[in-house]
Amino acid sequence: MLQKLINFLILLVSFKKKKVLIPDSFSNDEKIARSIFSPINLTKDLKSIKANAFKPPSGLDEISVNRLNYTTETFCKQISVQLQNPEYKKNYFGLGLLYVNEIYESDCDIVYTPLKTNPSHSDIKIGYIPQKGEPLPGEFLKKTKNLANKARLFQDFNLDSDKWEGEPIK
Amino acid sequence: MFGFPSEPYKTYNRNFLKTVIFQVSFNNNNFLKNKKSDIIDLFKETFPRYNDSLAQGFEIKFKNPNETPVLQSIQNNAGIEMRSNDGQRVLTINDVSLSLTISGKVYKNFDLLKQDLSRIDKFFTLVGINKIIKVAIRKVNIIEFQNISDATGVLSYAITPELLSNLTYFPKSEGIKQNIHSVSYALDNYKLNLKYGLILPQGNNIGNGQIILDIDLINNEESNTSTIFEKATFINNQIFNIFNWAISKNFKDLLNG
Amino acid sequence: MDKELLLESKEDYIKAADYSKKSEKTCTESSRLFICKNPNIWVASLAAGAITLMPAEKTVARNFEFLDSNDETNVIERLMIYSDNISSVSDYVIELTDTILKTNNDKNTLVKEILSFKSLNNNWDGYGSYPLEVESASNALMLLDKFSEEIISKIIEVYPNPHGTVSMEWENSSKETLVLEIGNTSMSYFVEILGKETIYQNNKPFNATEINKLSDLISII
Repeated sequence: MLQKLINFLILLVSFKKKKVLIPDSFSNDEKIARSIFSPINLTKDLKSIKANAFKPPSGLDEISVNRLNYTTETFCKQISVQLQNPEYKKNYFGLGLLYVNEIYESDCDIVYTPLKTNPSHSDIKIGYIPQKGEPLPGEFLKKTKNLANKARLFQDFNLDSDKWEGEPIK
Repeated sequence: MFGFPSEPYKTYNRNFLKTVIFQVSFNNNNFLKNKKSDIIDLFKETFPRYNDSLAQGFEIKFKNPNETPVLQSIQNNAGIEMRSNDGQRVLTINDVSLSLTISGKVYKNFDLLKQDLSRIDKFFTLVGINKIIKVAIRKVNIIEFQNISDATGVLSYAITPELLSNLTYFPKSEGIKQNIHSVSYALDNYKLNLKYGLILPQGNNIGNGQIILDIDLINNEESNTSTIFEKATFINNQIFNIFNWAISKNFKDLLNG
Repeated sequence: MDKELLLESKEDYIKAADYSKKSEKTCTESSRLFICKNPNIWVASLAAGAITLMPAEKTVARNFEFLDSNDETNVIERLMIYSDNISSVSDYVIELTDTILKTNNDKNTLVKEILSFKSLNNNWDGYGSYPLEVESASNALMLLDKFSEEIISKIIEVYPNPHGTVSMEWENSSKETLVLEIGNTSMSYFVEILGKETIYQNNKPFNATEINKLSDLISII
């Protein structure tokens, strides 16, 4: 665990040192990665992503993603591993890839919201703020379903490794 | 034809049909690429919900003997799938066959099937086919039961005892969880696949299951498209004879209801 | 391919070919698999084994063909034929379950799945999510009780959402879809049917009228 944290910090420092300039705006063909967890985000056949992977939490219209053109799969993995919770059916599985134009096609938006610990962080917005215990209206159920249908699933084949060990994400 | 006793054709008051499948096959003349929208127009009054149906498979490519072969999935546009408004009847058309699948919930008799296919002669004219190579009908009867401790007993109620003579030979037959029999005939240009018995699908509660009587009759003789309904009617009547031969008297009374 | 092995196994394949020709099935045609060029026996076995293990509905290879345009003496025709007819009882039961009964699940399995979502803790997704709300879970179980077995058997997915609700999905082979989200006091869903505009139903109460309407829509999927 400690080693993982050290690796994460090393990656973060090297990222900062390179001083990559990330624009506020998005190009249509830019790659956007969402962390995917098993089994909670995966269909039964483990080949597709469920709509709940693209639903915002209560009180917010924000679906956290990363701009893959300005970061690496390994960095995304490091973050995902921090978020996993095996006790509650949430084991890091891999990444879901969307292109920005696909987000727009699903009638959603994406905004650049960098964090100190994650300069490539952004948020997909579906245009609705869910409330605790209340179902999303049908129109927004469809948006999140569309996002899940369009997203391509990339499995990380070695969850114990510190590096991304899935197919290169294209 | 196969020696099953003939009975005057009639429609029972009740049925336990799960699915009826009608299929006609013909030689491939690659009509789908050019005629898809015309075919949809022809049938869309009865089947307004339509979509491309996809074939799924995979392909292994050997680029050269020294390289690892590449395995990739492929999805090809395999035809058209059209559904009735209530989704209970599905028409599937590809370059080599036309199939109509009717849910048992809405199947009343053979006339319904003929009604759905009333435009089939126009279809053949449209795509330039005048010969068929196969006509087939499959009727799957399924009786679901719940909370029965002795499934074998239920099976004996539905299927004529002569077909189940082996049941009494097995010790502790109340413990039997699956008893499926499969018989295939091939005579002249006809093939018959008859499957009957009992299954308890995985995951089901104890005491729940299905009794199956699955009759699949195929004619493989090449003939003119004008003979489709004549052949289909003959096949349907034969299936009726086989069905009556296979079920018990108790079950007939139940169907007469 | 080894010539001796070819000759040794050729007779078996001819027998297999005859057997498969004797039987046909009337269900939807399955896809073909063609393999080109010189394989080695290991890969051939792997491919054949993979095909054999696939569910009957998904992929059924009619034949394998190994062709080497450079060396005609090494051509292997029909190394293996997988019969279109489901001959063995276990294959028949699989076919029946997958294609005709379409039994994805039963009620007990779904009840257990929904109850398991109750064990999720706060922030179970790492983004500030809530565990499944008690009322939402209760409404989902009540719906399962009202739904017919056929409707239940066709549910393809059940899953919790970050804001404490639970969703169920139905989809058919034409990709027509109904997605339902169940909350504490109401439900919402959308239905996509070919040739028709998408139907949206928002914040509907859990009364008999709405549940019947929902059931009717699910039945046509």
